[in-house]
Formats: sequence, structure tokens, C-alpha cells
Amino acid sequence: MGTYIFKRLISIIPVFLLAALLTTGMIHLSPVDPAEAYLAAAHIQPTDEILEQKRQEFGLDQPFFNQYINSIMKICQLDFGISYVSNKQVWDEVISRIPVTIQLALGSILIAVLISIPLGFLAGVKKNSLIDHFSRILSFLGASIPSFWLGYLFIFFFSVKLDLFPVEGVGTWQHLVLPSVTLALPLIAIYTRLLRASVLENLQQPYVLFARTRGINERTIMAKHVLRIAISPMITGLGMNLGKLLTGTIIVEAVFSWPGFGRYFIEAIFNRDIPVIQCYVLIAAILFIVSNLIVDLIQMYIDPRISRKEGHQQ
Amino acid sequence: MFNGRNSRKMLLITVFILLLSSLLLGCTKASDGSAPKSENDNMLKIAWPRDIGELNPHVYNPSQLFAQSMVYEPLVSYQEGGELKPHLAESWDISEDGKEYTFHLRKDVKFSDGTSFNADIVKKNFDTILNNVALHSWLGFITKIERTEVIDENTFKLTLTEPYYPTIQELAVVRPVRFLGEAGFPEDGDTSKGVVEPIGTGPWVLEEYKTDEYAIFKRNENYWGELPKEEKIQVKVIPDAETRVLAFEKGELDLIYGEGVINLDAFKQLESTGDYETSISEPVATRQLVINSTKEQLSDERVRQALHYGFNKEALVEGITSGYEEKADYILPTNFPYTKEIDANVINYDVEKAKSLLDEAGWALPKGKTVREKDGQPLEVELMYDSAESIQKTMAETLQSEWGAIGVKLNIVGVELTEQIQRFKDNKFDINFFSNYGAPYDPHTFLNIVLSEGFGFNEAISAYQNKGELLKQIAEVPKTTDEEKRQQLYSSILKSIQDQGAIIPISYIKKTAIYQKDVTNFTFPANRDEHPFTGISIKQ
Repeated sequence: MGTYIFKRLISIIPVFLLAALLTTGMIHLSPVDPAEAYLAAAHIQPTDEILEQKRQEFGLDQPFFNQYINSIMKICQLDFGISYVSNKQVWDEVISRIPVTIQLALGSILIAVLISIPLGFLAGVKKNSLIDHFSRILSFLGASIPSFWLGYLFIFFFSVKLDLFPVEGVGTWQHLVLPSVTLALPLIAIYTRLLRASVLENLQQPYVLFARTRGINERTIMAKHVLRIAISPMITGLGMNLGKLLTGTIIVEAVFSWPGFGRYFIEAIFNRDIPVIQCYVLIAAILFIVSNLIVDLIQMYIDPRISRKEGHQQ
Repeated sequence: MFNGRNSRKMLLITVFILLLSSLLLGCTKASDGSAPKSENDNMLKIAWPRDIGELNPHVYNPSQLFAQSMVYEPLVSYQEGGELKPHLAESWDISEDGKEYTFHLRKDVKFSDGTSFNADIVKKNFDTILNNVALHSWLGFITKIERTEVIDENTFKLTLTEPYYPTIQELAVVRPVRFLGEAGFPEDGDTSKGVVEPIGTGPWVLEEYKTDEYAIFKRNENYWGELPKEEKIQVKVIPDAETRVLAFEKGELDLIYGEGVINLDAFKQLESTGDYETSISEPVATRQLVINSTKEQLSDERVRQALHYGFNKEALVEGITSGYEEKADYILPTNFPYTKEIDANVINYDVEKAKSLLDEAGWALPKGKTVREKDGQPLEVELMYDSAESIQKTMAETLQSEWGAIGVKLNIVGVELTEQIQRFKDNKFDINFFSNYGAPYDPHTFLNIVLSEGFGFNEAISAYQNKGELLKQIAEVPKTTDEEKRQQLYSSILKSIQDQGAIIPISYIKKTAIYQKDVTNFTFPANRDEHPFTGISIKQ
């Protein structure tokens, strides 16, 4: 197990190097010169002299390979440079905004899990029943409604009309409800369907028949055997979405004025605040890798057959 | 260790509890001391798309102008019609040669921490600004300051290297020439890196601030001028325009105002309900089309005029902005200093005239074709617009079809704002949307960028026969000391620029405001960047 985790952690390194390569290269692909972007953001009249000085400061006059090595060295020390707009360390700015974003992401995962597991499971077990139809409609809606529109609809009905929740901002748990549900709905749509399909497939497996012939209580079969195995694809899905969820908060954060990481990123894009954009891309890449790793580990706990194949050679 | 069923279960439960508790922890942490009380009386709540930023009078983005103007004040204030009135300076004298400015400061002014406002602190602020000349050189008079002097406690003298008449007007801008109290200065005195405390002389003091969430200003009870009627103002940061409108409809906001902060459709819809008050400001700037006359097809004045005659400006502006902008006849709004009586030709929609001008210029329409040609070359030009601005986009599309009807093929290309400016500077455009700076920067700032090389306007007028003469006149204007001579120069320069058609005025940009019925005395300040809160109040 330990070696497995170690191996996986090692495999982060090449992905990190590639991501760093992309973010360094990004500057050269953009039509806007970072030195000019800096001066524009800082409201300084660009003269050739200042431009040259800034290019030197950013290391843009050096060969690409040197720039690449330099940026890797700096990133390893968590030095993402200084924001062109606020003149503060990018890392500090980002770190101060991450907790609220994580809060939002966790809230929506929690809602998604709490709703889609019972719903997907029941829809699979009681195929073509009322609850199955309901889950189908919910999934259909969740998959097809874009989240910004859903956000507005929620605000309009639950906040403006019914006055149950505040329109925007953070602070209390009431503030968390609408944005988390908005983020959770597309997830619920996917997971409910995934789980339902998986449950249906497992019901056809010989082990269910054996269990029944052994006279085991139907409820025990479903809860202890079918659900345990059927939930596996859903967890894979969840892991793939974990990274996406943190980056996917961008739109929801804008709609609900959530003061998080995603909103900060949008502003950085508009201001061409290149160090912030680079930092975001790197963090997103690392998030994807780490969340996939976590999911693999969870899967091993739940279905030991997987870990026997991979992890427990010794 | 993972084989035991119980330990696995335990692990799962632990993970779940950890997740849940971190979530709850996040909630409680955020709610500490925040959650402004909604029953707070006498507090005006407004929304703003961005965080107010650092309240430092000597820096730019991301600090927001309106917030800086609430806390810090100028020596001179810009009023209706471009009138310059005394503010922190009671009066001023200008020497004969136009180089020496002596300011007599008000004696009753105190900073919000109780220290007094005097010539020493004015000098200290000026000297700090002058230590970062590169940062502030966009503001003309800064680069021309030779000396700053304290004459006595309430007299401050500014000496320039050469006469520069807009000095007084430029002292009215929101940044950087406003005054920070002594206690606000950092140890090394360099305010460009930050201030210790936002201490100003203005009517408002920052009371509470949460980055990206909100800021609460309270009234400065020791304010020397007219005390604001409201005790507090809360600025909520709501980046999304639709959310701002929804929060307003719900009553969580008393007022939304600004340029482009309310979607025009939403504005119209809210106005039509009759439940709210709305207000539209005087023109703050002109939306212009800048035509690059270095391009061969556009170098002929007749072609540029034909383009101006060839579209229905009134219908375009009315249709696209729902009447919230006004058709512009002149390249600068007429409520600015020296722009009231410019005798430029006003061009009205006339398709026949446009066609005959193009024929005259040699661009004929070949049989069976829709695009005019000259020497086998089609009359094809490109219009660049800011892709994030829906008004520019829709206007570009309308122009495309209107000019198509007179045989001009217009290609429209949407780019990001930063790229738009970059291409404008690099002279890589045929026609571009742009606008002037507005009050209190114009008319001299507009002419100054026409003068500066390496900016689109300068290139745009390249085909003008009198370009050299024009630039000479523009350079002369700021040095004038005689009011009459100055007006003459402005009149002749602005007329000449407009009449030769490289800059087409489209519409006058205005600010919009929408507020609840119990909000009274809302007025737009004449200065585009200044806050509108002084007289405002909520009926109890």
C-alpha cells in the first residue's frame, strides 16, 4: 500500500513539469506582452525604457529554457511572483481565498452524495417505479440546465420571491445553501444515473442469485452486497469531478458573489494578471492529480478486490 | 491494516466526520463578526462590481475611484459645466507668467484623526507623489512641477517649469493629488507601496472592511463641509450584473449606479414597473469611431465623410442603448470646459450624399456586384470592437449592414480590451471604437493623446493636410495664459479634427442609477469619478 501511494506521488512530478511548461509557454502564446500588461494594470505610461526594465525583471529577455527552469525553482518555493494588479504575493492572495471555495465545493459534494446515493440506488432496485421516473426527470434537468441560469432561478424563487435565503455573500449556513445546490445538481444528475446503471448491472450478477438461494434477507443483500460493489463507478466519477468542482465554482462564485478563488481568477483574466493565471493553472493541475489519487484510495477501502490486484503484492 | 472490516468502517466514518466538521468549521469562521445587521437604520446599501481595493489616495487599480473620493479630497472641485470651485483651497492666485500657483488653504479642515490640514501636509503629499513621477506622469502638470513650498501655515505654493493652464483642473481629479493624513504615511514615506491607515479629510471614514465581500463607511462627524445625511454607507461587492438587479429587487440594496453596472434591458424592465426611481446623468464622455487615415482606402476625406453620412446615427443610438445614450454631434460633449461653442459641421444621415461622395472619390459600383471598387481593389475595411462590450458589438453589426448598403464591405472583429488598446497603440487597425476620458480630464487630455506619438489618434489623423499645424497648435494650448486665445485655439483645433472626418462622434455616454422610492436627493456629480453620496438620504 505504502509503495503504491509513493509510486503515485512520484508520478505527480512529470505532470507538474508539463503543467509548468505550459504556464511558462502561455506567456509567449498570448498576443499581449506581460511587461505591457503589467504597466497597463499598474496604470503606468509605457515608455521603451520602463518596458525593457520590466522585461528584464520578469526574466523575459532570457532564453525559454532558462525561464522554464527559473519558474520551476520559484514554484517549488511557493513563489508564484507578485500580482500585477494588487502588488501582493500571488500565493498569499490565493491561499486567503481557497478556504471559502473549498467550503463551497465540499458543501456541494455532500449534497450530491446524500441525494444521489439513495435516489440512484432506489431507482435501480425499483426499476420503472415512480421514484425511477422522478430520478430520470431530475437527472435530465440537472444535466441540461446551465449552472449560471440555475443560479439565477434559485435566487429569483428562493430568495427574491420566497425570502428563504440571502441573494449573495457569505457568512451563515443560509448563504451556503443556494450556491451548493446549484453546483450539486449537475453532479446529482450524473451520479444518480451512474449508480442506477451500476445497480441494475449488479442485480444480474450470479452472486445476487447465490445470496438469495442462501436465504439471506433481501435488504441485507442490497445494502451489504449490491450497493457496496455498485457504488464503485460512482466514486470514480466523484474523483474525476473533484478537481473539476473546485475549478467549476468560477461561474457559481460570480453569480452568488462568493469571495473565492474562482472569482479572483476571473478578474485576473480580465486584468491579464499573468502570475495569478499561471498559479491557478498549476493548482488546478495538481488538484486533479491529487483528487484522483484520493479516489483510488477510497475505492480500495470499499472494494478490497482492487487493492489485492494492485497494492498488496508483498 | 486495511483488511479488517471494522478498521475500514472506522476510517470511512473518520473521513466523513472530518469532511463534515471542516465544512461546519468553515461556516462558523466566516460568520464571525460579519453578517451585517439588516435592521441597521440610516444605512444606505449599494452594490459595486469590484472590491473597493486599498484606500490609498496615491495609487490606481484595483482601488476604486468612488471609494477614494469618499475619504480623500482635492484642493479644487470640478462642478457642473466644467466650473472649477474652491474646495480644500479657499482661493488661489496664478502669476502673470502662468508658472506660479499660490493656494490659500481652508483653515477649518481637520483630518478624520483630528490632526489639522495645513500647508505642511499638502507639501508632504505632493513630494510623495513626485517621488514616483513615472507612475503619475500621465497627469500633465505632475511632470512640470519644479518646486513645492510652504509659505505659511495655510499657504502653499507650486512652481512649474513652464506655464500649464490645466493645472487647476487637474487638481480636481480623484487620484493621485489628494491628501493623506500624517498618521497614514508608512515609515519610509513611500505611499505607492501602501498606507498605514486611510486617513483623509473627506465626509466618510472606513469603518469595516472585508475583502471581496463588503465595506462600511461611516460619516465623518467632524467634517468641515456639509455633513452627509446618512450615517453609514455599505458597499456590497457583487460582481454579477444580474445578481445586483435581483438583490435590488429583493430590497437588499437601496441604490445601484454607475456606467454599465446595470444591464440596459434590466434597467428598462425595472423602470417600467414604476416601483423604483431612475436617473440618467449628463454626458460624461463621447463614444467615437476612430478612422485610421494612414490606410489607403480611408486616406481620402470623401470616403470618411461618406461613412459618416452613410448610417442613421439617431436610430442606431436610440435602438441599441434604448435611449440611455444620446446621439453625439461633436467629438467632445458640450458640457466640458471650452467645448460649448465649437463650430464644427454636424453631419446628418444622407445615403444619397454618401453614395455620391464615394462616386466622386472614384469608388464605383461595378455591375452585378455589391462592393465598390477602385482600380480593381474592393472598398473593404475592418472595424475593431471590444468583444466584452455588447453595445460596441451591436453597433458594429449595425454599421456593417448600413455601410453594406452604400457599397462598403465592413469586416468586424471582436477582441479583448487589452488587445484592442494594444492594437490601437500599434496602429494595427482600420476603424476602432474609442472614447475620450471625460470630466474632469477633458478637453486637454483628449488633445494631449492626439498629440502623443504611439497612440492611435495621432496616426488616425495622418492624412490631414494640416496635421503639422494642428499638432503645433495642440502643443501651444496648455501654455496659454490668455483665456480668449485659449478658447480660439480649442475652437479651431476641435473643428479641424472633426471636419476632416477621422473621428466620428457616435453617442454621449451617460451614467445610470436606479434606487428605491425612499431614497431622496440623488444627484450625479459633474466629476465622472466622484461619489454621489453627500446629499443622499433615506426617508424614515
